[in-house]
Amino acid sequence: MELFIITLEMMALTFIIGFVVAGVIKLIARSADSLELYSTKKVQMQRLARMKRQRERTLKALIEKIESMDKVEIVNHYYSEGQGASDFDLMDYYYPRTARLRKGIKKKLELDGDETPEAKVKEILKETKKNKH
Amino acid sequence: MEHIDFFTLFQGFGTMAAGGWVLGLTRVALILLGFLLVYLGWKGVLEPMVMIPMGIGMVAINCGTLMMPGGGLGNLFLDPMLSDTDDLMNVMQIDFLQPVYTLTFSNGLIACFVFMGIGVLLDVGFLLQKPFTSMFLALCAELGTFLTVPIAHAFGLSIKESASIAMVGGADGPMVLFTSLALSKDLFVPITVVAYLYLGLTYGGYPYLVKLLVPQKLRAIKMTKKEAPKNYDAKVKLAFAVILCAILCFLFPVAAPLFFSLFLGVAVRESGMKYVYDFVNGPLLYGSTFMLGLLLGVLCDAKLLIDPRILKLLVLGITALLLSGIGGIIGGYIMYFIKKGNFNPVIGIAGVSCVPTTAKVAQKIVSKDNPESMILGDAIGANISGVITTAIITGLYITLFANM
Repeated sequence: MELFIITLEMMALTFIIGFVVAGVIKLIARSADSLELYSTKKVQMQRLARMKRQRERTLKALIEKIESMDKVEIVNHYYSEGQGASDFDLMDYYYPRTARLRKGIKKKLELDGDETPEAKVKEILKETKKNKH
Repeated sequence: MEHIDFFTLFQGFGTMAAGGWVLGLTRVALILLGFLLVYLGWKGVLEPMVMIPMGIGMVAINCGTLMMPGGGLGNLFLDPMLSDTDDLMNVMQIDFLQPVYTLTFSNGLIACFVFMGIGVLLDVGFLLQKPFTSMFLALCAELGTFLTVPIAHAFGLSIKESASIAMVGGADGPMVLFTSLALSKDLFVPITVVAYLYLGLTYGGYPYLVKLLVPQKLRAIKMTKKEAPKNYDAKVKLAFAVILCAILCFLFPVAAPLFFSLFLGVAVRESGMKYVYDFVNGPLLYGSTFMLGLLLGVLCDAKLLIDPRILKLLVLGITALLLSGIGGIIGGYIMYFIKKGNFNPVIGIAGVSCVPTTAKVAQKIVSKDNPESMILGDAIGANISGVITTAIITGLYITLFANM
């Protein structure tokens, strides 16, 4: 009877050791899954970061290009010889830089598939203004 | 010349007469058993790689008994009972298998080689997918390994002998050899022979047990899987081998050679060492298994096997295997209820760690009742866990019983 009880105790001990081993195996499997997930997402994250950097560079270049445009260009449009139907309106005449900037950025955002270009434009202009000051 | 009679000239017959009728009859029975094993191995009923050399070894050792200079009976194969180093050195120069026996068998090296080969065959990816289920089934399938200890003790065997014969329930030949070498050196020959004879029968016997205990409706269950099985990278499997080897060696240093050999095999498989893999998977595994069979056959000398305990060992060995099979199926049923019917209880039989026989048996039975049901992956997971749990129990028994 004593040996039977010892056997049952050994059985219980083996179950405990077995489940600890199973836990370790599960841990290895989980770690492998997490590492795999991280490495997969890492590629995606790198791609997103690259896209973001590229977008910032494009926006910056666009802003610089628009800023470099002389107001005279628009004035010339209104006061020189007729050039057919114009894309410009009075806003362009009175606030040429801001209007061109707004249009350019909005167009870029629309091309990028942004759903709220107006809000974004306002935000970017605000940011640009702040940076300038 | 006129003094040489028939029995002196043909000593095989002479020793048959000189040894007494009990020994003579036992020798004849073992010779016939040897023939039977060769036949069954050739027919594929039993594992030919073990049974054919074992059968021929049995025939040769019992036919080739001769009169030794001291007057006793002996042979020119090997003497497993030698412990004195001087005698051993002398015999090593006479008995042609003595060096192989002393340097590979009696120290468990051959068991470790076979275990390394088993490691190379294991794809631990199945175990990584469902470790708890696999381990649970394997633990249930050790029922015979545990319950046979008190039963054997009640039969009059010592605790060490009881633990050695109970290891047959683990259904892992090298492990039985390793345990009996460590715990009961005087009975390790019959125990190992009984173990290998019965392990050969699992392929033929377990299907009947499964059919008896699991109704056809449940045998035909096709398990639905929520997610596709995951293929783990070789580096994950390698990490598995190294980490588990470290943990189990740390827990049971007495069984460290077995753990080391098993996980070294897994590491060889997963690390892309092509030439080493080919060597372990081919010459080492098959050569060791063949030599193991041969040595087991040669050890079946009637002198060694005339022991009243043999009959008990035969009964206890089959009891251990039967209980383990029943335990595995009980585990299968428990999983069936836990998973609310989405589990085939036949997988439980694969928890008995006769790699990969029991997994193949499980798939074969299920395929017969439902050709669309594929359980081999789960069965192999349980099978691999079975190897690990049996090695754990080996460590536990040797640690606990060695000093009793």
